[in-house]
Amino acid sequence: MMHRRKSISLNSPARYPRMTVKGISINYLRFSNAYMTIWWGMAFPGFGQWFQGRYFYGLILIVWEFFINLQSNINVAICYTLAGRFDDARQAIDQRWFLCYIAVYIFAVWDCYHVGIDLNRRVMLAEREEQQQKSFSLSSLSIELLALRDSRLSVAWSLLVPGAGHFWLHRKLIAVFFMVIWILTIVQSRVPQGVLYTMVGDFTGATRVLKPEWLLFVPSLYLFACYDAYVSTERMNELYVRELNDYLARRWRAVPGRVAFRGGEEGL
Amino acid sequence: MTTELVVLFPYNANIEIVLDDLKRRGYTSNSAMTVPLHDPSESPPTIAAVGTGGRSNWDIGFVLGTIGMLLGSIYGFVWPGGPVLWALAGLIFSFGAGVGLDWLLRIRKIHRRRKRSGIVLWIRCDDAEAKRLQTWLADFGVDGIGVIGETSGLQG
Repeated sequence: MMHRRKSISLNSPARYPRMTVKGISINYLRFSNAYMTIWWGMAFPGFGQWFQGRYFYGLILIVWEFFINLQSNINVAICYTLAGRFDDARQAIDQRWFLCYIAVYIFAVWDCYHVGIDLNRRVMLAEREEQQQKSFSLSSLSIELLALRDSRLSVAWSLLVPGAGHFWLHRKLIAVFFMVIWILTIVQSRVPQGVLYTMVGDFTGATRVLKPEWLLFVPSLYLFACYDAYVSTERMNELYVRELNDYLARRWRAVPGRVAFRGGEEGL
Repeated sequence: MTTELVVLFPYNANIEIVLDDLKRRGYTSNSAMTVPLHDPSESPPTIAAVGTGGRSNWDIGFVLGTIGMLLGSIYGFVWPGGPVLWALAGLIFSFGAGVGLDWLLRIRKIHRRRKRSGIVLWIRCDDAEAKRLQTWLADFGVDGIGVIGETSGLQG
């Protein structure tokens, strides 16, 4: 049935495991679309890597991005440039750090594109491989489980707090990463106060209190967390369905000939 | 006389509880079987998926949404209304535009939403047992039960 390539024995470990459900978190292989990978890599260095499931390396790039962006004052310069105040932009930028920014930025995008292509070939093989996948894990600190989940709900939670959708998916490490950088960013950019001022109609107050050097991190962070929660839910549902199907096929497989239909004898 | 039940289950752990209970009641894989339903259009990923896989219908919406929110928050520092209001407006407008654009681009090439029909469980039992099984199965949130047999389970 289906398109499974028979492996020598299901007891032998998979060459390209589709998923790991272990310890305090879940990770899995997924196709990463080249354009989307490049886009997220450009929106925030490190997000391209996160999109592919490479969290440690992505986190290093994200920390670097926060550090170098704030040191070279790029966000403020972007604000001035788009407002047409080019001289102010020139003044704002810190030339010492600015040049360090460029090479790493380009490398981060290049890297997630190239690894993505190679990774996708392995995903293709992993999809075809017959393997015994796990859908549940119990450890001294945590319980991880797969289930069929509504992707709209995980996006809704992520809209409230980026990271919450990932928590719901039992992807706890990445959820903590998201929440920490989100809280740090909105507190530093004074978003809660800005929202408060805006809601009572004090727009000049909101403009005064918000810090552009941090505020410009918010859009990519916010939208990426929601997008990743969405695609993660879809992918994990796929993997859950596959695991359950495989389990049922092993234990309670319907075999042709065993099912006896008797309606025909009565001339139906 | 024997009756056959065909039960449609959604994808959750209830099917595993039901099968375990059936095993305890003496059912074997000869008298209870499952048929997971697959999407017939599903095929193994080909080499094309290396370049085009991992697309979703919301991609352009999220990309444009990020750009719109960013521009809104930047120009909000200049325009009346402030960054928060303009970021929100930029996000909602561009996200909608992106989803619409994605939809337009998809009219020719249809990305179908993946369907998940469920799991079919087939049980062979005797007539008297069939009724009891049906009442018992109703508690598991099944999507539907069909009866094949001498006497229809519903008419008694």
